[in-house]
Amino acid sequence: MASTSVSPELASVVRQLWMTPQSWLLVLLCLALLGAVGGSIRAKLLSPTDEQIALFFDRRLGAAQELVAAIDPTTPGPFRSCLSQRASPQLDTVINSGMLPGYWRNFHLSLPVTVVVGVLLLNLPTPAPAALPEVGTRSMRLHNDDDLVALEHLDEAPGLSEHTRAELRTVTQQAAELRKKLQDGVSQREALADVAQLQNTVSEGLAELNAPEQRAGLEAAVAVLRQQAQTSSAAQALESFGARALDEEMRRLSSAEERFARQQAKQALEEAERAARAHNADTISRQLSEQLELWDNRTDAAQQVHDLIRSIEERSEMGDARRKDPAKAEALTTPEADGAQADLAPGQDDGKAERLSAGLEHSTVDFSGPDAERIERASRLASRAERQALTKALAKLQQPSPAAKREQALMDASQALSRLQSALSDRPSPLPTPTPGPNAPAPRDTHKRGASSSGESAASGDHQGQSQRVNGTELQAKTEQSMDLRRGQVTATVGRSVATATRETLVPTPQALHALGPEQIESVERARVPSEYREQVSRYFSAD
Amino acid sequence: MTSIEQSLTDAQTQVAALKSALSTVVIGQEQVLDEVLWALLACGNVLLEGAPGLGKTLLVKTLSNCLDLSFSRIQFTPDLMPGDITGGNVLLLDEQGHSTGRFELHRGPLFAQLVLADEINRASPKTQSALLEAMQEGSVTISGTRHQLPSPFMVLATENPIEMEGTYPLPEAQLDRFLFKIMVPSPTPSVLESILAATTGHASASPTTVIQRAQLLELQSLCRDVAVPQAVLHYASRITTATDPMASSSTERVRASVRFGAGVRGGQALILGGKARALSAGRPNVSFEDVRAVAKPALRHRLLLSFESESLGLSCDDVLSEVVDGINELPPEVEQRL
Repeated sequence: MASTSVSPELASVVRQLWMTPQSWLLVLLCLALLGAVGGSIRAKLLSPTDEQIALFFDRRLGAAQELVAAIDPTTPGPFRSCLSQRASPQLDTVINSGMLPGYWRNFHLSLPVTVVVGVLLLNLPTPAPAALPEVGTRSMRLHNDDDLVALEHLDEAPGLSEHTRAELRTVTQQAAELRKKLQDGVSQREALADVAQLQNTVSEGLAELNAPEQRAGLEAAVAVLRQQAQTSSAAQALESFGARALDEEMRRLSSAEERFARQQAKQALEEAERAARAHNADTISRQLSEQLELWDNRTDAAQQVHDLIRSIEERSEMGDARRKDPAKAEALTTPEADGAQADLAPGQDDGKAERLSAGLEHSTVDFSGPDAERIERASRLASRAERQALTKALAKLQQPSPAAKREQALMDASQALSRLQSALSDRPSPLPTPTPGPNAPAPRDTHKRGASSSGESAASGDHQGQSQRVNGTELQAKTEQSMDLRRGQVTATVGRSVATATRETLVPTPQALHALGPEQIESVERARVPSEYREQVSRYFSAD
Repeated sequence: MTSIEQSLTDAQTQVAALKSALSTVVIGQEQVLDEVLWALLACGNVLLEGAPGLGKTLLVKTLSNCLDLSFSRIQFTPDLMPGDITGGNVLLLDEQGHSTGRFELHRGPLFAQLVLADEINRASPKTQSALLEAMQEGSVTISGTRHQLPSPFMVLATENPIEMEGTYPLPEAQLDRFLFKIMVPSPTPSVLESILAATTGHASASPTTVIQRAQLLELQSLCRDVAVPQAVLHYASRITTATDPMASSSTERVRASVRFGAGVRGGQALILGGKARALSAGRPNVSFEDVRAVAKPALRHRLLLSFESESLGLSCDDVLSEVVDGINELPPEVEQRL
């Protein structure tokens, strides 16, 4: 096996080069080599000819071009010998008097200067790496504190219980302190730590159902609810999806048209509440109690909605029959229905109904409740009084529980904190989850109208979220993230094309390449070979 | 001392003696004498231009005396015919005056070794052209028969720039045949004083022969052998080319002032004149200084100035001075090291 050995001189040169972190020194050496080669070629090209040398000495000696004539091959022979005889003493004069042209020229001074500079550079100690600021020690100021302001007023949301308000007050106080710090200027590390602490607080609040002391009660309550088929989805909502999902399921169960079904569901809910209380799961028990307290109100509201809908539908059928057989229909006419129908005279029914329906849509009532098609149709046919009653009953039916309100507030706080964390760490903000539209289904609710976003459901949906559709013949982009040019942050831009309405595409835009932030530049510096590694290699070569 | 060295020394001595002999008669025209002698050594013809009474004719006559050469003088007049200067075949008569049927050549004044063409611009162009063959080739063709002129042969023409009425300016082809055009200047007051003193007394003896014909031929042959380095040739060619307004190396002044520049004969005149100057100085080679010294007499009659330049009073000597001064003798590489 051939052994490889490195000569000490070569090792020394390599060590010196390695210890010199200035990469431009290597470039300088290459340039020096190229300069030497180029200089040699140039010197060869510019070296004087014999004729030029003779002309030079003729001028120096004041001779009438005798030397150049003596070396000229076209000079006749006898004259050349004559000229040579004349030139000989002149050449002696040249040699003796030191008339030779100076070898060193002005530009030759650059050679020793280059050598000295090169030697000095090679012997310079390895410069310490530039003192980079520690990660996270950069002073931060927040220009957009809307999220923090929203967090400060988190406990002021309507409908929250006193217990929830007290719980959220911790978050609001921390948010106020953080906002003040960011206004005065705070290190990035400290700001991110405060945000993380806030996020932990919020996360703990959201995960209260999964606390160990609640676990037994939760499992017991879920087991009770799963005993009946109609409450199994409520059990799944309680176990996996939180208070708002449980609220939705309870609203659905309490508005069932069959009294027996409602009683069975209420009974299961009561048994579940007792089971949770038996296992000392206060939080579970409190949530289920809140649902029981709301149960009767929801049942009454649902019954009222059903009655109103049924009444409107019957009057509508009677109107159709009167248009077909006016005599028969006259006997069935009641004074209230006739009075109500007075507003909906033939020929004006459709337009009036559309206006009423439009007014209903602008209310805060969610029409994703039971039998939404019937509600929608009834709202189009209802008189003004009926519509007001229907809206009031629906609002009563869809009143959220305190636990759902608390959960919604905590979710809003969590999203605001995520945005704040992204802004502080100069990372692209997570894309906001599109809020479902009024007719869009809940992700878990396969019983309701609309398709899931994955497109696996066969149900039809309009797929319209909050973001506006971008119309155009070609792909167009809609910026989802504002650009802060002063900070040079990296932003993500979401583009949505008309041709692929359900898909979103990241579209690189020139704005995203606008500028590099300080962190990006620092990351390039840190990507170099670490000084420890350089020293290790140096020790390896010097250990011969 | 080698034979060449000896020849050069002899040549320098002879030329100096000839010039000295001429100087005794032609007073105060040292530059003119030098240039005439250079043309003599270079076997060239000379056009002397100057006002009347400056000694042009006297110079030529004295030169013929000093050189032991046959001399003839032709006074050019408007009615002078070519046959008057070349000669012709004449029918011979017997004693009774009857024709013998034979022709005999009667040689004209051109059949001399030193021809003085006095006031050449007063003859018609036809007569002027009769000199072309003699000046260029040294021969004359009469009735279809070519007759060689005696050697050495030299034409010295004079012209008067003042009395231009009734004259025929020499055509360019004719001018080009003259090696030098020598301007005879008016004497300075001190020179005029010497001339007056020397010419208003009894006639002095004519100078004797200084150089024999054979010696002159040897000098002319030696002049042709004088070495011309390549750098000097290059210098002469650059000067010649720079007088051409169409050349890229010409100056702005030349482009604006000159209609036609010097040609090949101009360059030849530069080198031959330089050789003669070097020989008269006893040097075996031509130097840059030699070329510079003969630039004006060799080129001034070969430049044709534009009408605007002439109207501005610009002369060919002015243009030539600028051309010569603007051309470096040495290559730039040598100039940098000096």
